[in-house]
Amino acid sequence: MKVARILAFSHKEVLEIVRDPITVWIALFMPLVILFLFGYALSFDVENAPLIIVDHDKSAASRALSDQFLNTTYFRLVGAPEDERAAEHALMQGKARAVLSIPPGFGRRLKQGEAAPVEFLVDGTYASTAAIVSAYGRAIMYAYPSGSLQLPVQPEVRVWYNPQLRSRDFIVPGLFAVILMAFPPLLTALAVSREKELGTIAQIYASPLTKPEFIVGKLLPYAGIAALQLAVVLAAGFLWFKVPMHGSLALLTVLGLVYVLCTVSIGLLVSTVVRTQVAAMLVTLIVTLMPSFLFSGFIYPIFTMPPFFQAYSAKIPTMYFVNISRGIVMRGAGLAEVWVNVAVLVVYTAVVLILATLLLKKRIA
Amino acid sequence: MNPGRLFGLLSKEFAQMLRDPVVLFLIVWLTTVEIAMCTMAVGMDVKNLKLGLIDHDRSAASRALSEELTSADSFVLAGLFASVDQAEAELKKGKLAAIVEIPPGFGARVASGRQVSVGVVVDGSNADVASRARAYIIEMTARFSQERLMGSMRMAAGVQPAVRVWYNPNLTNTRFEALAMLAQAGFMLAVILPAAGMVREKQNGTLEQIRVTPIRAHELFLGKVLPPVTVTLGSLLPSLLVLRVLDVPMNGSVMTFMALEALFLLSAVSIGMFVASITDTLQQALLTSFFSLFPLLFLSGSVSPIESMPVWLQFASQASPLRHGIAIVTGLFLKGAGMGELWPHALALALIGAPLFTASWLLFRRQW
Repeated sequence: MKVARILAFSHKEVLEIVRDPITVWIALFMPLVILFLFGYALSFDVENAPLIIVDHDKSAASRALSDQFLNTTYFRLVGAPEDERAAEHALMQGKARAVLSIPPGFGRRLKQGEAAPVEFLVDGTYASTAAIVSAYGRAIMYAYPSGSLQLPVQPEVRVWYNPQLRSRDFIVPGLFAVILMAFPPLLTALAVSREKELGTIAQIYASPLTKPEFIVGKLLPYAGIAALQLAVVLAAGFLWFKVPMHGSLALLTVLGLVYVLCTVSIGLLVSTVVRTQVAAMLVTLIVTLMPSFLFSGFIYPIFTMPPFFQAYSAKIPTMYFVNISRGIVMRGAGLAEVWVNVAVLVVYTAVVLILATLLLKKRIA
Repeated sequence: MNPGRLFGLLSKEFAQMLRDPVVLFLIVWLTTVEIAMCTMAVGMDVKNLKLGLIDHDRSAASRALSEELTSADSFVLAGLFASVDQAEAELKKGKLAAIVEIPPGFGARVASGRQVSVGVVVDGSNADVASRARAYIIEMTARFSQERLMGSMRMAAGVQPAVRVWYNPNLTNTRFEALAMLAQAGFMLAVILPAAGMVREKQNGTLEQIRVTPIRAHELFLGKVLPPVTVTLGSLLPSLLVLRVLDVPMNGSVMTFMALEALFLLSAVSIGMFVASITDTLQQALLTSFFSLFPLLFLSGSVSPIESMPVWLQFASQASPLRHGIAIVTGLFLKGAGMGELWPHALALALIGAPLFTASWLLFRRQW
């Protein structure tokens, strides 16, 4: 391996990247957009769910029950039709998530101390929203006699790790891992496949460049971009979202570099295997992008998945950096606590790079 | 428009696509295996959440509350703990989803009709599970309170909620996830394929060759739009089988599905064509496509519910074809909706697609 040849090759690659400003801007801007969207909008909690109330009773009691629903932050009224037909149509159109239907005689039954049935119909399409809407709906109806949700038994709920259930302090450290898996490989995946598609790879074949030199030379510039992406998301996370840092930023940055080297290598491996850029893009979508969201423990915890998917998740580096990032940022973990994850990433990177070198075919096209 | 020329152009486009078996394989993988995998991984039940209980009171009332909490299939009692610290240690390990701590004197306060607080800790590491756990606990304690209140007021019964859940009675994530994946897979392909197909001609210089033939600009434009729509639509047919295996019911009409799906894919193609008209190289086109795909994907409600987003993003989500695409497939499959219910989404798709097509057509004309 000759350092001078690698540097010359990397230099050519850097020029190619820099002279395509759209690519550079997208590479740096895309992680930010995702960080902001997820940081601001990822939430499963329900507020202001659209509700339709069909009041057949029209008594003081039925109005009081309706008010009780609308006085909470959980529901907002989107319609009060005369019959269920219109309400069910709205549910089907997705304009309402739930229908409260108060039958005639509701007030009278309550006054006489009889059971007063009330129907609450919920759209189950979004399971999580539906479960929460049903539970809140029931809670409000149970609370009816006291006239408010100030019942004798008051649950004082604290949510750990993620107090408002949308806390950026919790989401952002996980997002570092997801974003740096989702985006750096996209660019790298095009690195070799582009040369193959345009035919410029033939020039490489004709040059004295060896396979390891080619891989390292390709890797360096993209690792550089990935390092910039790392800097951008870390800066946004700590300066804009002001996520409290309980550990060492230096450690997170160094391990972040290890991680992006790993994700960039995956992109490079994809690129050496496929022939066209479209195929490279689709493969990256399947092997890095989708798994980084679904199989990283970022939204869906891995330990609740079926064993097959737990094993699958263990093959994807994102999970290890989610552990590292959350460990350092939220719990102030040091290298002693996260070293297993680091070791996995290092070995992973080495294996991927060796595979890429072996699979790269250097021959006359 | 010359039908013969258009036909020739279309057969060239299809031949080009069919001669790339790797890409075809990836398309089918995305619309079958990937849908099944993602659904099975995240579609697990959010039932029987593990509850840890700390009962400092040990009275009849505290036992009644703990029975209330575990009476439905929302929670199972996973352990009784002597102290909060012990329970919290289990929560940290992920062995508990929630902890309820009943304070000393709970029974006495409830009996005398005074207010009493119950400590609840919910593990927020899975926002979905945590939101549900919190709602369930609020529901159960409200029910417990109602029973006590009724008792003290010497009333036999109060409001009896009869909750029915439509379209997905078991409240599993499977059905929605499968349908959202179906829409997502189609969406991604319908953006990427036409963008790549158009830009490749530009970059390879083959556009020059087409320009010297009698082919007109609008014929080439159509020739680039129709094949990706057809191929993606075709690749969704095996997905229908996958959905059947995943036990997603088809309550609507398949014809309506195909018609609306074609409209949905067309509006996605309009994004791809627009990207192709503002970029020059395949690399730029592919990256720009991804750059536009992600926000649109997030705003579709497939990651987290739209209603839980900030209001301005809820408005912005109207501009995402995927949002309407998901509303259409869930409406058709789960709710058995037809055109009568789904037309607003169809209209929205047309309103998103038309200006983008116009813009890309105008830009393309200038380059022709």
